[in-house]
Amino acid sequence: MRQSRPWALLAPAALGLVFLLAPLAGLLARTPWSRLPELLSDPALLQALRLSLTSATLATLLSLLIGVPLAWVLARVPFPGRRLVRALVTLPLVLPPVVGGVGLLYAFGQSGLFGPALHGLGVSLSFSTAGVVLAEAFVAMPFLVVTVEGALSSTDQRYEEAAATLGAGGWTTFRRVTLPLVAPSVAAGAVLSFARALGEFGATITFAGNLPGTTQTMPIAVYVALESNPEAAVALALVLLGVSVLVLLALRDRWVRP
Amino acid sequence: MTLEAQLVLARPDFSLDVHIRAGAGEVVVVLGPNGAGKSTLLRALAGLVPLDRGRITLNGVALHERAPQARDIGVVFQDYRLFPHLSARENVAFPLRSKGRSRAAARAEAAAWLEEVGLQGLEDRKPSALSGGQAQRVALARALCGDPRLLLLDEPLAALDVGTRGDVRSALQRQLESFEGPTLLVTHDPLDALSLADRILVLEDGRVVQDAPPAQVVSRPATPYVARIAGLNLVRGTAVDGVINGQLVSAERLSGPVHAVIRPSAILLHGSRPEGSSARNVLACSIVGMEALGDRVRVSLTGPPQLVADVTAAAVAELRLREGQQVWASIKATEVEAYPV
Repeated sequence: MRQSRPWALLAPAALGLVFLLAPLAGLLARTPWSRLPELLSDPALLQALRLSLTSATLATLLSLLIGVPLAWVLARVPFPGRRLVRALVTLPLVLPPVVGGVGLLYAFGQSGLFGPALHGLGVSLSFSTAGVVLAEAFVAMPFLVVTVEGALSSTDQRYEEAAATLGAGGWTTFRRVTLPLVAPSVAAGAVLSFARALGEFGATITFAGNLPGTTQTMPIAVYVALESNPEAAVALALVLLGVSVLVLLALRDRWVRP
Repeated sequence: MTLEAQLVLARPDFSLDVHIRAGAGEVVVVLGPNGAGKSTLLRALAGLVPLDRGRITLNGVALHERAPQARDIGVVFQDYRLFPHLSARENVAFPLRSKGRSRAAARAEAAAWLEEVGLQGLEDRKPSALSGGQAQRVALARALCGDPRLLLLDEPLAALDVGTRGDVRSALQRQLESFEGPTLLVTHDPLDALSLADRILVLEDGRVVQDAPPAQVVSRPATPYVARIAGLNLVRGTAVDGVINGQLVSAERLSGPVHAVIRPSAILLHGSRPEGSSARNVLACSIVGMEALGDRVRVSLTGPPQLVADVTAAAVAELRLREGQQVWASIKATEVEAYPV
């Protein structure tokens, strides 16, 4: 006799799946396949694509540069209030991106907290490509920090001890032992950050604006094109979808498989 | 090159207080039951746990004031701790690179060391592709190639299966012979201790209970733990003119605090009180346990003193020995080997 199962769950489950896949179907259904090559070779689209890829890459690099050390400190250096700091670091994950953008504006904008100091150095971040990178890194870096910190916390320090007995100082141990051991997680965190940076919309448009060629990234271009040229919007969206699928493939070993 | 260390560590549930000396080329084996503090002792010498009190000097240099990476020691961990992302060669080259050797020089030297421990051809293998014995040799080569002034080995053979253990032990023995500094090797295996040690330091509950050459440890055990390892009965007490605890007569007419050892095979068992026996010691006792040991049967007897006797299978059958049975044990005075403590 087979165990009876709650078959009533099947209908909402199917509904859930349809709901998640419907936008994808909608997108593919409205794609002007025959005009696609022409649409995709539009210089404005290529410009936005280039800007998106460049700024997402730079945001990922920035996240690696300051996020990995931050993850190491959170995982390995006990200090009072560490739990609070850990919570604050993950704040951008739950914060509405627009709020992040407003915050960035009042921190690094011309009239912001650090604006005058930055202006004195001849640096203007808001409404510039550097601002795009900053906004993207702000929302994307927590993914990297959380991933790397988790990996560091779960790898024990046996190998670091061994390295010390073999004459390696702190920096050598970090570079030659600690970092290689968590390399898969650093890579996964970087891919996640890149994906998040590529899709960033709210913080970017709030802090960096919508200047074609300078701050108009793909997601912003999609949104703008929807008003004037829906076919172009669909083509742009399709490109972003393609990149997302690539990201999913890159991460398949970690998250997609059970 | 002499190691001189006084190590004091206090934990809520454990304390370690030991003094260790080890000369150049000397292999000192720290032997003790699990939980005696052997690994802690080694970790303290390596600088991986801080001392509460004490000092460690190696040829007059105060090691305890130095960070682990500046102590110039080689450590073989029980779990080897080979870096999983590096090949055997890169693992061995690691301490050389830490010392600032160029990549090429370090790799060449590492390859030579791998050949030295009999692993030529396996240079490019990752630790996950090495057998237990091979990994142990890589760990040993890695610990030695940085030219350490002190070598520490934590249960270096414990993770190996019985089949490979003998080979690795003799290989280890050869390497230890050619190492010029002091070596401290921690183990709970008596065979490792007896075959590798110049001197055995028996550690129990964080204290050194015996510090002597292997031959003396087995012939003059200081505690029941050591006696059990040596396969001997140990009676501890006070002697008056050769009579220990008013109970056991020994041939040597000692007085004062003594230990006495009795070989289990020197104890004869009888079903009734032996008449006309020349043995000076005749003890009434009962059997609390029996265990077959090869062609002998080891019989545990109630005390005092608690003894084990080895008898033949024929004797077991003839006397119909079984647990709970009352028996008489006779021991010649010359078999009660007493020594002052």
